[in-house]
Order: sequence, then C-alpha cells, then structure tokens
Amino acid sequence: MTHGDRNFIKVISVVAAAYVGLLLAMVLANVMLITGDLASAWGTLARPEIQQAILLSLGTSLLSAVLSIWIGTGIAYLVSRERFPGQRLVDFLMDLPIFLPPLVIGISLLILFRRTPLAALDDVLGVAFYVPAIVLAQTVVGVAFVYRTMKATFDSMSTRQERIAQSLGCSRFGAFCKITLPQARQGLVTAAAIAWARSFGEFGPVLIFAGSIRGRTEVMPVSIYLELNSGNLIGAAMIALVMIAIAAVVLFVARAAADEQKISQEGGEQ
Amino acid sequence: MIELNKVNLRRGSFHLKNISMEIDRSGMHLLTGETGAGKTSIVEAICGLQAVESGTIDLRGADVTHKDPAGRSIGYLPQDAVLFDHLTVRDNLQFSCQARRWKSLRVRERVDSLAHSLGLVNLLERRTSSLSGGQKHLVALGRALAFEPDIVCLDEPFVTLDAQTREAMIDWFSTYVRENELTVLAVTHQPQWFNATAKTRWNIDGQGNVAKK
Repeated sequence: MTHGDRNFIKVISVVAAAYVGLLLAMVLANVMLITGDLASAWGTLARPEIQQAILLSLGTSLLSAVLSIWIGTGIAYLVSRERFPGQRLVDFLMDLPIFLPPLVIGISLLILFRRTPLAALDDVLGVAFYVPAIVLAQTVVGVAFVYRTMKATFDSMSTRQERIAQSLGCSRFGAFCKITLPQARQGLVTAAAIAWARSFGEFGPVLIFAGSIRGRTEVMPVSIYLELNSGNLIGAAMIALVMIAIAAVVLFVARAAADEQKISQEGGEQ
Repeated sequence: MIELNKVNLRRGSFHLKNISMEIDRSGMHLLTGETGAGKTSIVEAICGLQAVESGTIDLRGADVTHKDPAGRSIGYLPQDAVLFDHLTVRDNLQFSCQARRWKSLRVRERVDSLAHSLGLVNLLERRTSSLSGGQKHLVALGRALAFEPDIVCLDEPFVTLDAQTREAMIDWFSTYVRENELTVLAVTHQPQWFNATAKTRWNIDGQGNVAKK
C-alpha cells in the first residue's frame, strides 16, 4: 500500500468513526437523560395512551409494509418487464414520494380526501383523521421505497428463466411466483425492511392527514411530538429509546434473513 | 409436425427474413449453420420464446404463431441450460409436470425414471448451482423431456459432456426418440454425432437462407 493509499484509508476511517460515534452518542444521550429520572420515564411508558400508541405504531407499520410490498413489487415488475406508453412517467412519479417533503404528502392527501368529491366517500368510510389515514400516509411513502428497491432487483435479473418456465407450461403468474420472486428474495427482504422502517418512523404526513388525536391516531413519532409540546422531554426520550430498540430488533431480523439467503446461495454454489 | 412459413424474426439489429421449413415426420432433424446465423432464434421462435414479426408457425397442423410458450407443449433444451438455481435437481425435473398438475405419484415415477436414465439419481436433492456443466446439461435435458412432449427442440445437445458419456447419452436419446415417436429439432455444430439417426438436415447460411441438405 502506498503512502497515498494509506492516507486515503485514514481519511475515510476518521469520517466513518466520527459518524458511527455520532450515532452512538445520540442513543447514549437519550439513555443518560432518562437515567436521571427513571421514574418519570417509566411513568410515561406506563400511560395507557402511550402503550396504545406503541401498539398502533407496530400494527399500522406492519400493515403498511405488507401493502407497500404488494403494490411496490407489482409496479416494479410491470415497469421492469413490460414496455407501455407513459412508462417513463410512471417511473418518474414513483420517485416523487421519496423526493417530496413529507409535509407535502400529508397536505396533498388531506386536500384529496377533504376538499374534493372524495370527501363524500371519506365521510362514509372515515379515512382522514382515523387509523386508515395513518396506514395510507405510511403506505404512500413505503411503496416508493419498495418500488425503487424491487425495480433495481428485477432489472438485474435475466428474464430468461421466466421465459423458460413458461415454455415448460407455467403461466406468467406461475413463473413470477415460482421463479422470479424466490430469486428476488434478498431484494424483497431489503424492501420489506425499508418499507417497515419508513412506515414506523413516518411523522409529517401522519400528523397532517391523521392528526395527533390522543387515543385515536397517535403513533409513536406523534407521541414524541406531543410529549415535547407538553414539556416532557424525558418521556419523549423514553419513547424514542423504545423506537430505537424496536427498529434495532427488526433490522437485526432483516439482516439475519438476508444473510441466511446469502449463505444458502453460496452453499449451493460450492 | 413443425412448419415455418415465410417467418421474419428480429432481435435488435439482427434480422432473419422469409424462413420456411417443414418437418413432417417424427424422428431426429438437424439444424446446422455458422455461428451467429440465427439457428437459436429459429428454435426459440418455434418454442414461443422469440416474437415473430410476420409469417406463421404451425405445430401439429395448428397455427401457434401467437400462442404463448406454455400453449405450445414443446420440450426445450437451451444451449446454456438455464436451470432454476434456487431449486434442487428433483424440483427442476418435476417442474413441468407440476405445472401440468400431474398426480404426485406419476410425477415421482417420471422423475425417478428420467434420473435413472440420465445418471442423476445421486444428484436429485442437490441444488443445481452446485453441478458441473455436463450435469447441468443432463438436468436441462431431463427437464425438457419430463412432461412427455411429442415435440422437442435441443440447442447444441450433448456438447458439454465427455466423449464416453456423450456416446451413451446419444444412444439412449436415440432409442427414446424412436420408442416415443418424438419429433426432435436439434441445433448442432456436430451433425456427425447424429448420422445414424438424423432424418433430415437443414442448413442456414450466413445470409439467413434455410435449405434442406
């Protein structure tokens, strides 16, 4: 390794160490704050509305992740495999939720459901300011991330195996389920993890479209916001730590699933 | 059995014009020609894997030009095997039978019989990604024959096998074709391997003209 190479590695190592240090310091700062007043921190968690928010967050993020996988994977497959008018427009539109400020998604959903003829349907179904609004706001963003991940996965896969499967008697749908999806499993796991993480942490669109109604549409990010507004910094830090712990568990499981897939593939290739 | 009438094919800038062929009896038929002349394109068009710009393809007396690959019931052995690497050898062999919803006992008997004939018995539970090139080729051949098609297309069959295995496999396959009255179209650069069994030989030249030799 030359002197220049060593310097290059040193510079990126310092940047990496600083960033990882910052992440750990952020978590530690929360821990240090709540250890100063554990009784208050536990007290926040023991409140029924916070426990309900935890359950609502877990439930809605799981449902949104499942919906995002279904919708995003389907659109990604269509755009990756077919040629149709407006394809580039669809591809462009699918990126919008990623690039738009979250508040814009929230306000757009709210206007769509409350200031257009759709409001009559919303009056019957009860979407805006109810739980379905949380799921919809989370899914709109989740689908975009699933789409981007799965489109890259499908683009990198040859269509030949699918075609051969069809020549062996499979329908297009059969080939998709038996050949394409199993081979895209690693991408699916990644997409599911991203969709869930985005849904779990979604705040802006949820706040505007579903509101911050305690006991009805309060998810964990909204709880943090409400606790901060009421001056309960320790309670907000405690909820944040619970979110970090849940996210860490899900990330660990997703990585284990992806690693298992990798090991099983490598094992087969020996 | 297999008839191409003035078929035009295009793959990128590659273009084949007015291809006409007629294979009207069962047995082994060869398609030879220079590398890049379009042999694989013709076979894949017959199997429904390559779109036809114009002209017609008839199989068993019926026009299948716009039929999907599944509806043509052709066993196809691609040159590059194209096995399903996330599945075992057994799964690959039984794939087409399960797609046709055969009863499980019939599937098992068929797979065991093919595995025995092709020397794959000890490999049945292995992932195909762990096989050698020759073994993959045999699995792909078994997969193409598994659902008992009456028409089979082979692209460069037996090329990845050692001489001894190749001779044994050609003998077995020739008997299989005769006993089951299969119609086989084989793309090959080695027509001499099939001298004893080939009924007709078609050749495609560098200009894309197909003629019976």
